[in-house]
Parts: sequence; C-alpha cells; structure tokens
Amino acid sequence: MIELRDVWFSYGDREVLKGVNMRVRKGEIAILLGRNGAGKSTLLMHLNGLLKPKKGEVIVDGIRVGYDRKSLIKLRRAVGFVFQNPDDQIVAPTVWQDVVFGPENLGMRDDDRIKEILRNLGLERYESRLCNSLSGGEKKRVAIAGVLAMEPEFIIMDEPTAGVDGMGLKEILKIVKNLKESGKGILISTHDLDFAKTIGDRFMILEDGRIIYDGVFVDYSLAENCGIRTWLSEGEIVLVPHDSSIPETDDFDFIAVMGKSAREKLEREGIEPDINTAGMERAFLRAIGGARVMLVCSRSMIEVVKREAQAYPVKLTICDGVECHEGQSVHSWSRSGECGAHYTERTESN
Amino acid sequence: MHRTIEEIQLKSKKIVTGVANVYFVIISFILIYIFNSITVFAVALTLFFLISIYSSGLNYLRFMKLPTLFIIPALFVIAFITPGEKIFLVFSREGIDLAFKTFLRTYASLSIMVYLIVTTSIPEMLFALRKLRLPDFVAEIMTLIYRTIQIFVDELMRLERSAESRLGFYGRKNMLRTSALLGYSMFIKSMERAEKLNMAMESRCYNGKIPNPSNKSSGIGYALVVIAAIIAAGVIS
Repeated sequence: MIELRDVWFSYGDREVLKGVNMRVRKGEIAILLGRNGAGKSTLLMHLNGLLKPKKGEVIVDGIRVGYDRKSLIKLRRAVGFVFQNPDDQIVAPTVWQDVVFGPENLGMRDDDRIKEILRNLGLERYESRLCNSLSGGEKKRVAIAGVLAMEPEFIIMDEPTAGVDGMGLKEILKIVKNLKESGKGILISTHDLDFAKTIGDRFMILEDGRIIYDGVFVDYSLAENCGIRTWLSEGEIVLVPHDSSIPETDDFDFIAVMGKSAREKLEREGIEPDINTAGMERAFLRAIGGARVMLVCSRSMIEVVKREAQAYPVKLTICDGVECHEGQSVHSWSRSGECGAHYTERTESN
Repeated sequence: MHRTIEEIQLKSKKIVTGVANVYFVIISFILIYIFNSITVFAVALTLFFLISIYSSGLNYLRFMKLPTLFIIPALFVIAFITPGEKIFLVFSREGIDLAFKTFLRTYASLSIMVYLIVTTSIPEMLFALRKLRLPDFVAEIMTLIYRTIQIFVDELMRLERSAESRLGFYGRKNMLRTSALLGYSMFIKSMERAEKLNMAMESRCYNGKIPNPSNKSSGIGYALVVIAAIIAAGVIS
C-alpha cells in the first residue's frame, strides 16, 4: 500500500499541498480528481520521489521513503510514474530504446518480457520506429510500456486521457483494466469525471491542497462544484416533495410527476404535468438533453431519486419548501466553503 | 526537412539492415578511395544508384539535386583551368578527363552517402559507431541530443505555425519581431524541457545507460555481392 501522511509542499511561498493524507491499495484503481492547478501532479510526483515533502511522510508497503539514491531507486522500482505529456517522459529516440531504458538502468533487462509488454500494448513491430513519428495515442502507450517494463507494484498515471481521442481513450481503459486484473495498485489523476467513473474503484477529490473527499462514489453535482469536467449539460432536475410548496412553473421546461400523493398535490394546485408515466426515468432523460425539469414526488421517494441521480450526468436540486414556512428552502448537493470540506447536504433559505 | 528524412528512413525498403548497413557503407567508401579508378567509380555509382532508387524511389534524386548545383559548375571550372591540348572550345583533353573522373568519384560517393541517409536512422548509426569503439558517453550524449532535437523541432514547428496563422511573418518588421519572440520562447521551453527530461530519466532510475536500438542485421549477402563487384572492378581495372 502507498500512503501519504500529512504531506505539505510549497513552490516558494505558494503552498500547494496542505496536509494531504491518502492511501492506495494493491489491486484497486484510485482516482484523484481535481480542477486544473489543484496540485494533482505535485501530489503524484511525491509518490515517485520526484518531489520531497516539506513536512509529512510517504510510506510504501509499510516502509517510510528515504531520499538517498538507494532508497529512491527502490521506490521508483516499486512505484512507476506515467507523465501527463508522453514527450516529457520519452527519453530515447526509438520505441525499443525507450521501453528498455528503465530495465537496462536497473540491470533487470529481459527482452522477452519487454516484447510481451509491447505486444500487450499493441506496439509489436514498433520497436525500431522513431518516437517522434508516432501519434499522440501511440506515444502514450510507449510511455506506459516504459513504466511497465520496470515491473512496478504501483502505477501512477498523471492525466492519461489528456489529448487522447476516443480510440485512444478506449485503449487506455483496456490497459488500466488489465493492470488491475494483474493485481497492480493504480492511482490516476484526472479531471474527466466520465473516464473516472468508468474505471475507478475509489475517488478522491483534491481541492486547495487538501483531499476533501474520499469515497467509493462521486456524483455529477459534487464534481461540477469542484471544477471537474463532467458531461456538458445545462439540464437540471428540481425535486419537489408532495408536501412542499410548488415553485413557479414558468421556470421549467417540463413538469414530471411520480406517485399518487404527488399527482393529487398537482391536481389541487391545478397544474397539468407534462410527464405522467415513468416520471423519474423520463425526467432524467429530459434533463440529460438539457431541459430544466420539475419532478414532483412523494417525500418517501426523495432518497430513491437522489440515489438514482448519482448515475446520471444531471444536476439535482431538492426544493423542500414546507407549506407553513414563508418562502421556500432549498437543499442541494453542494459544497461548503470554496468546494466543500465534505460531501454534505446544505440548506439555504431564499 | 528533419521530419521528411525520418519519414523516408521509415518507409524506405531496406535490402541491408541494422549495423551491417553502416559497415557496408563504410567499406564501400574505403574501397572507392583505395581503387582510384574510373571503372570502380562507375560500378559503385551504378550499384548505389540502383539500390537507392529501389529503397527510396525518387527521394534519391531529391537529395542529389542540391549538391549537383555546386558540383556541375565546379566540374566546368576543373575542365577549364586544367592545362593541356585544347579539343573543345577552351577545354583541354586532360581537363575533360579530370572533370569526368571527378564527376564519377563525387557522384559515387554521394550516392553511397544518400543511400546511408535514406536507409539508416541516427540511432542505428550511433549504435554502429558504438560497436566501432566510439566511447559510450559520447554515444549517450549524442542520443540524448538527437532526442532533444526531435522535440525542439516539433516545438518550433508548432510555434511557427501558430505565429504564421496570426500573420506573424507578414512584413519584414513583423518577421524580425516574431523571430525574436520565437527564439525567446524556444529558450524558455528548452529550459523547461531540460528539467522534465531530467525528471523523466530520474523516475526511470537512470544511471548512465542508454539502450541500443533493436534492429538486427540482415541482408549481409546483398552487401557482400555489392562489395565483391566493386573489388572485382578495381582488380580488373
């Protein structure tokens, strides 16, 4: 297991990491999310010994990392680091020279094993190709092959999807899944939520130099609030419990209803819903398409809708105004402070 | 030009590969200078012309075009200044003979050189030189310099394209200003690159070893046939 304990780091006066604590276990894919400039790359470089923390410690398999040459070699053999830009990582002119670079320097070169890695990454017959004649996706694979050739237990990938097209993304997904199956621990930094959700087992959000969220799921509202790239949609679902006051209907493109008590409520208010059947599913579809949908449901269904919403790229707001109250109160999945110390439910009064 | 040469090297049909190809070229050069004969020059020129055309097609002619602009006037000068019996206008028999011999020798050498250029990448060349006892650290530095040049040329092309698209080279004044800016940007980028290259090498436990390319030698038989033909021409003449 890789562990960071209260790691602090600064570039000059600018504090980038402010007491980071995190863990990555073998056999899991951990995702580090955060907006540009949140300090993801800085954090990852600590795990490969490229940066030394000002305070705190890095622990790999229970042993505290030292920064003498011998300890660093041991660390780098255990933890491979794939740079964001493959041109930064590729140090040799040809594919073969670059992939063999690490093992040769470690004195553990095994040509058969390297050929197998190249074959697994779809790079067979690329051995004598010059690296600058490769496409972006191919360079990415060469960079990954170069790290795999060192046979690390943990692999750190800094934004592997940056500058990669759809085909390249699928290839990277396949590679990462295969690595997981082979028992490696993987930590991937990204600000692409869709990619993260596709492969991640655990998600951490880095914001303002701290890990503000660490959990097994992450929804679109939280990600969006933290500046993470999500599905680009203006769509929103405003969830209204049946015993709350109904907001102004002109503000919505569609009104959906779910459940008997909610239907009765709308009838009493004289509102004709646009979506009567399969209300939740059709409301999600409309919201994904960019519409603003008011979904009126019985109070007991709120948790169900919230749970379902985690799987879809839609913003969910719960408008829970109690009738006897003046105005309405809005509960939304949101952040506290700049992005949020925790994943919390916040109440605002209008 | 850099990209074009590398693309040509990549796509060329190689009858001899790997280190053997470099040795083949070096031996051919040596033979040309040992056998100072028109027949040898003519045989070498013919053979390497054919091999180069087979390997890279018309690219051979492209590479030969530029030196021709210098060589042809030089041959006229040689024919003109060499003293002897005048047989055509101001040219002497000795002058024409010498110019013809120089023509064959120059073009035979150039053909061998162009053949090497179109079929052999720099890493392969460095590997061969390393085998010929070039010190390891020199080969390593040259390999890293070559990789850095690859990156810088790509970077420079990107910057140039960006400047061009915003009319950066429109007019003399703009051209000077843009060139100065590009130079400055390249300097900054080269500093960044040096730092990143160092990090990349550190993260992969660099301790002074740059691996050799993977190419295995093949086509040694073809190389021997060509060399034998040159030697035979030398012996007969």
